[in-house]
Amino acid sequence: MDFEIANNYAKQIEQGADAELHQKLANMCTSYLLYLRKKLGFHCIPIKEITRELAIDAVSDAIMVQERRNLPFTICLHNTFRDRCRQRVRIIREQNTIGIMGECDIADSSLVIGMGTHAPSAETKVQNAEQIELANAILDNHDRFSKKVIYQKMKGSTYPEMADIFSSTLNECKRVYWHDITHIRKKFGQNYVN
Amino acid sequence: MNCPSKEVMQDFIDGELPEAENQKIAEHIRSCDTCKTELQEILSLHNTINQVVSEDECPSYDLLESYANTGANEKIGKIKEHINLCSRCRSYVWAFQATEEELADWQRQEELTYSKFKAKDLGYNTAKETLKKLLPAKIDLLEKGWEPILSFVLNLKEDVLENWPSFDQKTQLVGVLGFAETHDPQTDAASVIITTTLYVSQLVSDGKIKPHQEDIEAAISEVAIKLGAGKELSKRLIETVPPIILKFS
Repeated sequence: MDFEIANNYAKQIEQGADAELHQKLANMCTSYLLYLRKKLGFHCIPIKEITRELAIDAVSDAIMVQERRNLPFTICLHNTFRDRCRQRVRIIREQNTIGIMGECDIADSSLVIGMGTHAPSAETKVQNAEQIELANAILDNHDRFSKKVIYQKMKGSTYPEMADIFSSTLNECKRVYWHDITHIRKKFGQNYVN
Repeated sequence: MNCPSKEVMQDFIDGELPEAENQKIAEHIRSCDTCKTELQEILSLHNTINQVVSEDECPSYDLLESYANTGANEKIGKIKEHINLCSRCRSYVWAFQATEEELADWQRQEELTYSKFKAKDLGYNTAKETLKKLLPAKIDLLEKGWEPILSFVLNLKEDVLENWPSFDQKTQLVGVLGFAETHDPQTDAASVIITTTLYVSQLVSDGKIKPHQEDIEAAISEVAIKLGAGKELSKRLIETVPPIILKFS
């Protein structure tokens, strides 16, 4: 992808060029988006999905942001594609959790957000709220970096992406994340025992 | 199977294990109450934290832009806390605040990194093909272990450059390793070096030769002849490769 040409195409689309150019721009951006997929570690998103759907969606989002904010198309594309990937990763992870539960014979629908067909009971709601409050309090006591790592992970970031964001290493991010999860788990345990 | 270590359990939950291992662990968990409880607890915790994070929604583009345009002293409240945590929103705020020059600079940098990646990708494939041709007996090794070999080769690159100052980064080694100039005819020399190093390293790790200077030199001479390396190149191989292999053995 030539960045300047991409910016020009996007400008033309913004000024009313036809849908054909939109498709042409999406095709042109695909190799760059596949590069971002690799760089940011979104390996769980199949390449086909990127070439068929995510590329065109991210390009549309980027044109929309560019149009309203007067920014170069390429920086918008970088951001909107990453947003789309994170959203997708969250869905994939959720599906993965459902898969794990199935494989391991764990039949607790409350473990997956959005799963289950009925509303939780009042008791479950209170317990959830208590847990959320407790998790919030524990997270507040974590140092900034570890809080950010947990936050990014939950928002759909991958470890390579976090390493890129925090100028750290993949292993360090992974270590911090799991150290914190263990810590929170211990605190949770203590709380419920007490 | 024993209970999986914490690390393995983590990778299992993250979906980062190969399918075969996944199956084994799932099978174990089904029959192990301790692991099942542990997994259930971790998933439950994930779910709770997920809800905490999900409640912290990203502000709209309008809000982010208006935040970007307010003075540093006025940046207060919940949105500031959110932006401190959320890299997505920080990157939008950065873009909304950036000058034309900064944006152009970002684009230049990004385009440069992207073009390096493209060359590297092309080079990986070229290197792989070259190695396949040069080392038919080790095709399996290349197919099965391309990633570890690649990281080994990348380390190797640093060492070769360090030990062999006359090696021209732009025209030779870089090509084979996939950093640029993959069409350069001189890449053959680098292919021979890499191939020789990989091959002899494999002999050492398979225990077919001992990690001693003399044994390594003998193996190198043998491979160099097979690969058709000239006198000069063979001499350089003997100078360069043994320290690398000894370092990694």
